[in-house]
Amino acid sequence: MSLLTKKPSFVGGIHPADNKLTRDSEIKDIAPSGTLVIPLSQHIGAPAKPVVEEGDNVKRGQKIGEAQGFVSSPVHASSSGEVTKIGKFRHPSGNEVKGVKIDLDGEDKSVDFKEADPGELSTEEILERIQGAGIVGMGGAAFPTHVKLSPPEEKDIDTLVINGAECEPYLTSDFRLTLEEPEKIIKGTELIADVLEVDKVYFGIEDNKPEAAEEIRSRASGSIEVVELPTKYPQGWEKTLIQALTGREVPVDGLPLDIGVVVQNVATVKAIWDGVRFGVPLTERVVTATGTIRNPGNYRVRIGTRGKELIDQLGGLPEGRTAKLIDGGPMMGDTQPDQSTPVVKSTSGLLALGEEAAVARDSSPCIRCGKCVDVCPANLLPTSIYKSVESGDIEKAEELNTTACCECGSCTYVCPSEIPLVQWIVQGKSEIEKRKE
Amino acid sequence: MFGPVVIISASTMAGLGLLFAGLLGFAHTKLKVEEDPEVTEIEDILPGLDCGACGYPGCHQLAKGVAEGEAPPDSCVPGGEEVAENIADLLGLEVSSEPGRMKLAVVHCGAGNEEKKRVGQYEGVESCRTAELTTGGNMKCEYGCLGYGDCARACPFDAIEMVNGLPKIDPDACTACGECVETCPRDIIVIEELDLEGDFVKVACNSKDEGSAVREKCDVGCIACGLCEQVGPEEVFSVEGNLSRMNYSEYGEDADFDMAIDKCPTGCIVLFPSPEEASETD
Repeated sequence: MSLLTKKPSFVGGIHPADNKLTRDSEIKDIAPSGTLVIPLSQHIGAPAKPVVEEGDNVKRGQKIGEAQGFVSSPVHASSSGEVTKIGKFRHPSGNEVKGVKIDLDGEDKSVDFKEADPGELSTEEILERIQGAGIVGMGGAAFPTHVKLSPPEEKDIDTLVINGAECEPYLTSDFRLTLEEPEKIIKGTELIADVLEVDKVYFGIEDNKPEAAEEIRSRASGSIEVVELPTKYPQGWEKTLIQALTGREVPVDGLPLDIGVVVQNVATVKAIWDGVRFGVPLTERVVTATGTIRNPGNYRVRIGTRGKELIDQLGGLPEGRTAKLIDGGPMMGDTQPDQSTPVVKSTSGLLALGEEAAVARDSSPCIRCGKCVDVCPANLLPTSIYKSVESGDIEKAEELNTTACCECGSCTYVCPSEIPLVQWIVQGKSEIEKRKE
Repeated sequence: MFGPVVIISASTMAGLGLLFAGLLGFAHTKLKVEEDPEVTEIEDILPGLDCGACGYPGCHQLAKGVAEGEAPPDSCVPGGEEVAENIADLLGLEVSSEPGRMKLAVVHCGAGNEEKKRVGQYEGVESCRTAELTTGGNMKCEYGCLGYGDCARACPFDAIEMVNGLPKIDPDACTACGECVETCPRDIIVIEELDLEGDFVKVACNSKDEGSAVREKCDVGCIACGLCEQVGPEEVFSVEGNLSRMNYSEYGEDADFDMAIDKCPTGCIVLFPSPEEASETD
C-alpha cells in the first residue's frame, strides 16, 4: 500500500490468524432452560444488592439486584422462574461473587416494558433509563454506561467513537450484530451523540469486515463517519482506536474523556437503544460460541446461562480432551476452570480449544531481542517490567508505567522464549495496587 | 660524584614527601570522623549476616541504632538470645523478652497435596504470588496454601522445605525474621511466640468461610464448631470470624491439648515439632 492511501492505525500490534469461523453464521436464539446463575457484580463498581429472596418467583426483566451508588449497575432476571439460592458463585473472571440462582419454569414470562419516545426525554431521563436497564460496556470492561455518558463538566467532549473493530481472533458477535441490526446501532449512536452534544461521530471497524462497514455507511446520514482501519490486533483497544481515528493520544493512566473522546462498543449502543426506546433491560447478548464446540455460531443468549447449558444445547464438546474453555477470545479471554460459569454482560464469546491449539510450553530465559517492545501498543517495555516484577522491585515496575498495560497479550504472543509476560505484568499491576492500599 | 641533578631531585622528593605527610597529619587530626567505639563493639557481637530482619538495612546500621538507643538490644532476629544478652551486658541493659519462649513462623494450613481441591489446571508461572494475583489461585479454598513454595524461596535461612505441598518449618533454623510472612499472598504464615516447655500446637487452617462452605471445599479445614473452646485448655482457643485461633500467651507447659486434638471433627488442631523434638528426629 502506498504511503498516500495508507489507512490510519497505531504503532505496534500483531497479526494473529483471525480464525473467524462463524463469520457467516446468522444470530440464532438459544432458548433459556434449566437454571440461570446471575452474578450481582457484572460491572466495574459496587456490586448490586439483592432485592429478591430465596423462594421468590421472578419474571424476565424484573430487577433482582439494586445498584449501589452512582458507579454501579442493577441486575435483572433474564427469564421467569423461582429464586433457589442467593450465594457465592464463580464469575468468569475467576473470583467468587454473590449471585442469584433461578430455576426456570420454562414459560419465559416477562414484565411489561415501558416504551418511551427518546425525542421527548430529557438528558437526565435518558441517563436514568440507561442505568435502570443495567447497561454496562459490553466490549469487555463492563464499565457502567451511564457513568461514561456523564462526563464531569470541566471535560469538553467533542468526539464520540463507536467501536466495531472486534480485533480478537475467533469472535464475530459484534460483526453479526452490526450486519443484522444496523438500524438500532445507528439510532443508539445518534441518541448518545445528542446526550454528549458532540460534533464528530466516528464508527471504527477493521477492514476485514467491509460488508458491515457498508451497512452502516449506506444507512447512516452524514452524521456518522465510518472509517475502515487496517486489520491489526489490538485495533479495538480504545486507546489505539482513538489514536487511529483522531490522532489524539490518551495520557498514561488517563481516560479518553481527558482528550475529549467517549468510546462505546456496538453491542452497548444497541442495548442503549433497546433500553431507552423500548425500556428493555439488558438480559441477553450475542455470544460467539466457537472453536471445537459443536455447531459453532453466533447466538443470542440469556445472561446467566451456564457454559454447560449453552454447550449442551449446541450439541456438546467433541470427543477427546478439550484443553481450554475460554470466556472471550484467545488473546484476552479468561480461561474457565469448568463449564459452570455463566454468560455475563461482558461475555462476547465462548471458545473451546483442543489439545493441539492450547499447548503450554516451558519458558526459557529472556534473550533481550526486544520483540515485545516493538509490538506493545501502549509503548511499554514488557521485558523490563517482567524483570522488575520477578525480582520484587515493584517501585521500578511503577516507574515503568506498568498500570498503562491493557493486557492485550501481544508481547507474550511474539516472545520467542515463551515467557508469560502478560501474566507477570498483571501480577505487577496487582502488586502496585496492593501497595497503595 | 653526586652531581647537582641528584641533589635537586632528592630534595624535591623529600620536600614533596614532607608536604604530603603534613597534609595527611592535618587530615588525621582535624578532619577525623568520630566513630562511637560502642558501635564497633556491638557490630562485633552481631552475626554479620546483613539479613535485614531487624528492619535496618544491615548489621552496621542496627549497631548504630542500638548504640543510640533507637533499637532494643534484642533486635537481632537470627542472633537470638545469646546475642541479645551479650549486647545487653555490654550496654548494661535488660533483655525484655522472657526467657524460655521462642518466636517461630507457624503455617496455618493443613491441606497437603491430596487434600488440596484444585479447580481447573494452572499452567502459569510456578509462584504462589503470581497465581494468586493473576488468577485468584486455582483452589476451591481461597484461603489455603497454594503450595508453589514462594515462602521456601524467600527464607534467608533455609528453614522452609516444601513437603507434600506444604511448607515445613525447621524450628532450629527459623529465626522468625518474617520474610515468609511478607511473601505469602494468602497470609497463612504467622509469627507466634511459643513456650519452649509447652506443647507446640496450632490450628492448621486459615479459612474464614462458613462451616458448610469449608466442608465443601476442604476435608481438613476449621468449621468453627467451637468444640476446642469447650474442651481445650481454658482461654486458649477462641472462634472468631468462622475460624478458631489460639492465644499462645495463655498457656504454659501444663496445658493439656489431648482433648482438643482428639475432638476436633476435621482434625485441624495438630501438634508440630518443637526445636528439641526436631533435633531428635534428625
